[in-house]
Amino acid sequence: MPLVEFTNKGFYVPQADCYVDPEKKVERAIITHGHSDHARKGCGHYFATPLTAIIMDHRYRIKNCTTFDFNEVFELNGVAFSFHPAGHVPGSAQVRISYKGETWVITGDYKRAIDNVCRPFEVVPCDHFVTECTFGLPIYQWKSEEELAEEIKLWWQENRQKKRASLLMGYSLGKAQRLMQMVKEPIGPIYCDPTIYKTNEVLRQAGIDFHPYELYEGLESEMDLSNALIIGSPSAARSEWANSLGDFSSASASGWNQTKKRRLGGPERHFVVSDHADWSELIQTVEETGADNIYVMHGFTETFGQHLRDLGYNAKTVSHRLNQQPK
Amino acid sequence: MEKFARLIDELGVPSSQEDQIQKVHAYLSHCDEESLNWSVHLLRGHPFKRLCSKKELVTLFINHIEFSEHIFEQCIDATGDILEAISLSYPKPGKAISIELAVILKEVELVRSNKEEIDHFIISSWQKLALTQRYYFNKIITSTFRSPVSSSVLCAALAQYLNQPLDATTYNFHYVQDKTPLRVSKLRSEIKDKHNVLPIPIIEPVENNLDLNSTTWENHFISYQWNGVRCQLLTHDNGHEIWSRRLELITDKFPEFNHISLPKNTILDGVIIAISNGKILPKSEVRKRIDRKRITKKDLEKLTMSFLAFDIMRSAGQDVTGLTLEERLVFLQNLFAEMSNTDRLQLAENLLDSEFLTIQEIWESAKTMNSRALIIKAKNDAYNTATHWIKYSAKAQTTCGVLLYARRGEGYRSNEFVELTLGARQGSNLIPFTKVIPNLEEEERLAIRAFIRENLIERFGPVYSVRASIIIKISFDGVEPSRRHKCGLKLKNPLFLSWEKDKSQEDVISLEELMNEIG
Ligand SMILES: [Zn+2]
Ligand SMILES: [Zn+2]
Repeated sequence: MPLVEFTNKGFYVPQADCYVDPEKKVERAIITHGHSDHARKGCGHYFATPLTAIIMDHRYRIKNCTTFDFNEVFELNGVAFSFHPAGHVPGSAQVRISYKGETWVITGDYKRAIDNVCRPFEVVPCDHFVTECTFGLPIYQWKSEEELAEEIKLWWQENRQKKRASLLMGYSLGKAQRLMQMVKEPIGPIYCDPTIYKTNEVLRQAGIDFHPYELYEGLESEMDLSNALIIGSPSAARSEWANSLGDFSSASASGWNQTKKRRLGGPERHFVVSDHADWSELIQTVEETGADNIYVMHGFTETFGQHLRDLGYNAKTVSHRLNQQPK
Repeated sequence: MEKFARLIDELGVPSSQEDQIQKVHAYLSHCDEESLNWSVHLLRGHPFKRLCSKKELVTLFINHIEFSEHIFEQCIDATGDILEAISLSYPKPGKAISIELAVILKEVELVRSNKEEIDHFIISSWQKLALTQRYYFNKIITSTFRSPVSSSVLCAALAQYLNQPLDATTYNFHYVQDKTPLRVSKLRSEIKDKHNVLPIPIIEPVENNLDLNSTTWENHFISYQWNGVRCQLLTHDNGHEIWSRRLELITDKFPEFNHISLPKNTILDGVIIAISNGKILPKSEVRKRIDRKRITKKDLEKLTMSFLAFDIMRSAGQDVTGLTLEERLVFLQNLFAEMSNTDRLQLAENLLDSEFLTIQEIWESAKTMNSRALIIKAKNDAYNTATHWIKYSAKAQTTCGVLLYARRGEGYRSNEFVELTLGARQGSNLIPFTKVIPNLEEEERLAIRAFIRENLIERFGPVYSVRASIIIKISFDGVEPSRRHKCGLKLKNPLFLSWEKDKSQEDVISLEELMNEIG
C-alpha cells in the first residue's frame, strides 16, 4: 500500500485515513492554505497551521480545526505529519508525511521570493515530492522583490505627481498584503477595499505587522486620494466601488502579466508579481529536496514533468482533478 | 536600452496623443546624443539593417538552452510570438546591466561581417539584458521592430525637444537628408537655415475600379501610369535636386540631368523612366540605378534615363500649387517651349488630346507602353494633398472561400500549415475550388493551428480535413475553365488576403458565380 494515493477526492493517506487539500467532503482534512481551491467547507475535522485556521474561520466559518505550528509533528495512526512554510500566503504550509522511513512532501502552492508578509519557504528533504507547477514554463522568470518594489514605488510617485490615485489590484488573501507591504516606506496613505480590509484586520490581530491602512468603502466622494495607494481586489475594481475614486491609474499584479498577450487591455499598468515559484525556482526546489520521485500538478504539468524526466527524475503528472493515478 | 524599452512598453498602452507626445519628449530629453539619433531613427519607422533572420535567431537560441525544443514550442504557444518566447525564456541575467541603445547598435556594426561574432554578440547581449529589453533588442536586430508612434507624435515631441516651431520641425524632419541614423543636431541646424526650395508633399493617386465607359472624361487629364520612379525635380539658386517619392535625395544617381536648363526655383512632378532601344523598361531598372553606390560611364551608356514631367508646383520662383491643373499645364508647356535643351526632359501629354478616340482605347494601349494603369486627374484641381488623382487598373478581384483542408509543412515547418484548400458553395455542398498559401501574423497563425487541431474531421497524412467554418478572403486575377480541376475552373494567381473572422458561410462565393467570371 503506497503511503499517498491519488484519488478523485484528493491526496489520500490510507494508513492515517485522511486527505490533504481534499476536493470533496471527507472525514479528516489536512489543509495547506486558505485559498478556496485548497480549503473547502464541509469536512468532519480539519488540521492546519494556526494562521490558516484563523483564515478558514474568517472566510468559510470553518471552526472544527486542530492547529499545529510549523515543524511541530503530530501523529495519526502512526503516520507522522508536520507543516513547513510554503511562502505562498500567510499561514501557507507544505505538508510532510512520514511513515516507516518513507517521506512525502505535498507543497500546496508555494513561492520562493521572500516578501514582507509570509514566513519564507523552507526546503524539506523527502523521497516523494508533490509539487505544483502553475508557472512551469521557461518564459516565467520573476524579478526580485526589490526590483518589483522599485517599479511599484515609481508608478505611485508618477501618479502622485499627476495628482492621480494609484489603484493596485490583487487577490484579497496573500497578494493584497504582499503588495501593500512591498513599498517599505510608503509615500502616501494606504487604503483597502472592504474585503481586503477585513482580511487585514484578521491577520493583524493574529500578529502580522502592516503599514497603517484605512478602509475605503467606495462611498466617500469628497475624499482626496490623489497621493494614495489603494489596494483593491480585481472584482472590486470592476464594481461600483471604483466609481468614486476620481482620477486614478490602475495596475494589476499577476504572474500571468509576463506575456504581452495578457497585458493587452484592462488596467494601465501590469506588474509581474506572482505568488508561485517561477520555472527555475521550481527546478531548484525539486533539486534541493533530494527526492527522486516527483509528482507535478496544477499548471503546465506535461511540460514541466517532461523536463524533469529529461533531467533524469522519475516524474509523473498528477491530473488537476486527481481522478487518476499519476502517469 | 532600458529607457527605450520602457518607452516602447508605455507607448503600447492606449493613451491620448498629448500623453504620447509628453512621453516621447521626456524620453528624448534624457537620451545621450547617439542614442537620441538612433531612437528617432527607429521611432520614425526607418529600418535597421537586419543582423540575422528570425530563423537564425531561433537556431542560435535552441543551441544555447537547457530545455528541449518541445518545451520551446509550448513557450511559443503561450506567448504567441517567437521573439517574445525567446526573450522571456533565455535565463535571466543575474544582475541586468543597462546598456545604452547606441552602444548596442554600434556593436552590431562591428560584428556584422562575421557569423561567429554575431552569435557571440547576441548571446552575450541576452546575458546582460533584462527580459523586456531583450525583446526589443531581438526585434531590432531581426529588423522586425515597428514604431508604436505616428510621425506626427514624433515631430511634436521633437519640436518640443528642439524648442522649435512644429511646422518647421515637421518640414525638415521629412526632408533633411543625413547619414543613418539622422543626426538630431543636424536637424536642429537645418531648421535654422533651410534653403529656399524644398520638395513638397506629392499627390498620391488612389486606386479606383470605376467603369471607364460610364463617365465622360473631357474635363480630365489622362495619362499612363509610367513604369518608372516617381520623382520631384527641383532647381534652386545653387543647382538642382532630385527627390524620390519616399523623399530620398537621389540627385547624384542621375548625372544625366546635370546639365538641364530649367529656370531657377522651379519644382516639377514627374517620373524617371529607363529606355533602351526605344522601349520603356520596367521600373526595377530605375530602382537598380538608385541602389548603385557609384554611377559609372558604362551605366550611363547602357540605358537612357528620361524625366517625364506631368505637373509643376513652382515656376521660376512662383508658387503655382493653388492654380488648377489646366493652368499649371500651361506653365509647364511654356517652360518646355523656352528650354534650349530638352533631351532628358519630356512632357507627359494628355492622351485624350491624342489620336485615341475613347478611354477604352487608351486603356488597351497601356499594355504596349509597359504600363499597368491609367492616371486620371480633374483639370480644375489644385496641387495639394487633398486632391484625388484616380489610378485605374485591372484590379485583382477578391472573394471569400471556406477552409476545407489544410496541409502541414515538412521538417522545420512541420508545425505549420503551409497550404489551405478553400471551398465554394454549390447548393448545400462545399466544393474545393482553389489552394492558397496562408500569410498570417504570428497570433493568427497559432489561432488557426489551434482551430484546425480542435476541428479536425479526418487526417490524410499531412492533410487535415476540418469542419467548415473559417472564412478566408483571397484575391485572383481571373477565372479560366479547367478540366483537370474537379470544380471545372481554375483561378489565375490566387493570393491569400485575410482571415475574415466576422464573416460566415453565407459570405462564401458560389461555384455558379465563379463560373460566370470565366471570361
Ligand atoms: Zn493558493
Ligand atoms: Zn492553488
